[in-house]
Amino acid sequence: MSKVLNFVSKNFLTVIIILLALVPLASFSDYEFYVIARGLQNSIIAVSLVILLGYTGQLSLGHAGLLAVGAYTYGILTATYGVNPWLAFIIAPAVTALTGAILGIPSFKLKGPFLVVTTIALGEIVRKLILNLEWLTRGPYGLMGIKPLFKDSIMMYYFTLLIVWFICVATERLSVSKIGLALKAIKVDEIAAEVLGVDVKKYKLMAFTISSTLAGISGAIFASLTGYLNPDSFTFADSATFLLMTVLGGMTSVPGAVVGALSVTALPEILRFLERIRMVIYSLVLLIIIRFSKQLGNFKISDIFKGKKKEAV
Amino acid sequence: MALLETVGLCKRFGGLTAVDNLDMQVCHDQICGLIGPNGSGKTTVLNVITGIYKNDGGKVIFDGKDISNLSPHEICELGIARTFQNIRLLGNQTVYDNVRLGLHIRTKADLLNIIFNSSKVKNENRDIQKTIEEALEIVGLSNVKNEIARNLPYGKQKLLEIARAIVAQPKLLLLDEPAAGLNTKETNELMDIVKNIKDKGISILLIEHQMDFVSGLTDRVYVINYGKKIAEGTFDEIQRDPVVAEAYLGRKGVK
Repeated sequence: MSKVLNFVSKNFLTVIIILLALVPLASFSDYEFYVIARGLQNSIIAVSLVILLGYTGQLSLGHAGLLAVGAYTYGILTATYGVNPWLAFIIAPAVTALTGAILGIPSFKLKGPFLVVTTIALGEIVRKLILNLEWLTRGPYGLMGIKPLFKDSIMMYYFTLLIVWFICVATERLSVSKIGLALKAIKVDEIAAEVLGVDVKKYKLMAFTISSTLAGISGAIFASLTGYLNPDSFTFADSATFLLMTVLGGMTSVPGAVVGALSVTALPEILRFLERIRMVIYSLVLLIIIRFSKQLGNFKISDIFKGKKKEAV
Repeated sequence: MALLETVGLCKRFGGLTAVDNLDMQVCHDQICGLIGPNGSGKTTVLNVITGIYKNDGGKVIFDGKDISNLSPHEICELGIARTFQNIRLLGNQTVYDNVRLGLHIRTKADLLNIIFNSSKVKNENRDIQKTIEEALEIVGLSNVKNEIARNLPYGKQKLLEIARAIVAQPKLLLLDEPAAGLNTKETNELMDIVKNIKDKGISILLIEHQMDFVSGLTDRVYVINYGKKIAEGTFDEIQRDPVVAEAYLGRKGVK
């Protein structure tokens, strides 16, 4: 038994991906399947926050805005201009990366709460632009007629899973690499990092760009999944929810972020039978999880996933 | 020609002149000392040399190149490494990874190499492993390389900072009070380590209050007070200098 547990904790990411790959075989209803697919799409954005917050220590509460840039770029290109969905799927993250890079520039000077406020502002600017640029985004009426990447929802699911798997593996490689170490150094001590030869500005910009590229990928998948976009899906509350997913997963753990995203996405749906007090219970459950992980000191949800710390090379 | 030279270096914080017209030279294969009473501007000198502070006048010349306007990471790439007075390690990373950070400027793998785990990354990791272990060997921390840095005793954390600074083979190493807080045994071990580093061809400029440490190691000593150089020479010369005694002890103490 302990051998099995040990194997699971060592290869946690692989185990999750395999479990997720089995989901379409189970007899979920269409709606339940959709929720799981959305959880998968959200896990990309949770991983993007692992890089930005967990590694680099830059807190962003504007990721819903970046998600919106990715989603609307994909949506407008396919619905309004009839661009090939695959081409749009490449352009959307590129546009989002550019937006994120712009957000990275203030991070050279702004720290802590000041940077957070800036990221919130970016999220709001994007949302207001979407609301008011009606000729482009159809504003509050919502954007319809978005072409999906795959007609078949199961194909779409496996495609998303493949992307998630690739992003997770790449992020874990990044974590142990020279770049990951430089990002973690920036989180702990910018001056020490700079003196040791880390170009802090360049690496901060890199963290913001990578993170927003992932947000853009997530956004494009979101648009393809739902086929309809509305500015209400990209509010400040959504940014906070993404942050919650990452924090729940332990901030620096990639598989943790995936599980965090899946559970935070599914929880409100699972609790739907509670009807009116649903959101109360939802908040309560989250509070208990966070309180619980704090009380046990060293114990974090991520510890279950990480298992014993791997020996350093 | 000197390896490092400051010419008329000035640094002001508002009305306070922390470094005042300082001329100093560190030659190749030399250990230089920088001493002075508390608050005399020693650490500020190191901060200006490494680019953390911009100087307000004068020049810093390293290896024949004016480095006064470069940023800290560029200065690091030219071959100046340093340790800090208050330890600045990555507390939650392993000893090995802390030293690996010191090799940042020597590793060339880019983002795409890393994401696709190319052979370039694997080879590089193998190569740097040897370099890191050598650096840990020099300071005697090989047996704790997998420990979390925060859990090391104070003295070993200071040694780890030195290992991190020398791993990239700098030309000049700046040590800011390396012996502060160490006991006699640790101080003696540190002296051997510093000599060993010098023998590997790394010149050293060190700030220190423990005079045994300074006298045992340095070829040349600069004394500053209120940011001004008040004496220079070998340790024996400055020891006899009444101006130095006055700076440390006050005028009455000299008599």
